[in-house]
Amino acid sequence: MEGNLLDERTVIIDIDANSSDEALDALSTRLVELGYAKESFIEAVKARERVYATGLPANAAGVAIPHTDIEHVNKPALGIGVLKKPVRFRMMGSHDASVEVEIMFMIALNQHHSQIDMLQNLMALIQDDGLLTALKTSKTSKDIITLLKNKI
Amino acid sequence: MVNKKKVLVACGTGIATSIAVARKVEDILKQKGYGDKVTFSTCSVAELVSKASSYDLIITTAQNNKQLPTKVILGVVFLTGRGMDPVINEIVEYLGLNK
Repeated sequence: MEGNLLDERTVIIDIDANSSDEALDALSTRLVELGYAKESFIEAVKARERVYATGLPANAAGVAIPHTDIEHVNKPALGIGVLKKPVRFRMMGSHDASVEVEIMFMIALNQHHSQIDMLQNLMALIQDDGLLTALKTSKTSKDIITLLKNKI
Repeated sequence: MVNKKKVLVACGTGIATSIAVARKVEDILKQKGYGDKVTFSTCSVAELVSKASSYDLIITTAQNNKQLPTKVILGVVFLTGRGMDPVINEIVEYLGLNK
């Protein structure tokens, strides 16, 4: 079902992580706690990131869009994590390049070919310099939800 | 249009970036007037080996180490929006859409 995936509780700002694994853990654990994802999601996201990296060098910020197979997800969600300081992720499609990531958009999908509008909106957001800058300087989760209303 | 070109877009899971990239490339090609000359499908990188030979071109967002019978173009630029033009031109040229 296509629906609004914005949930203030899946937004975490000021994630204090020293590695991509720590950053991923913070956000994936939240999705599991809220029932969006199964316990197995936490390890599956990290494993998938190692094989198929998701760091993207957008204009306004380093971004990562971690995700994993649908079997680890109960219901669709979009986790948003703003990092206190940039953390190095490997760049998508590259063997050796990396991206200093400031914002993570963790995509939890439980069906193939679902949430296509959200995926397209997310890509538009990543290409929107003004919005991305506003997101990474947001002070509260509520501010982020307000910024993204009608955009995701 | 006879003989539409078939493009397969692959990503690690086959559920997220492949779909976003396929939509984006399809939109750009439509704007250029080539919309009726191409069809798009998506899959995961793991499925490429069995599917590749039925397609004219593969676009992927993940690194691919396997030997494939079909040309592979990296499509990460369609996610960031940075540097899309040369890649679009390569796709148009390779598929002969401008012929």
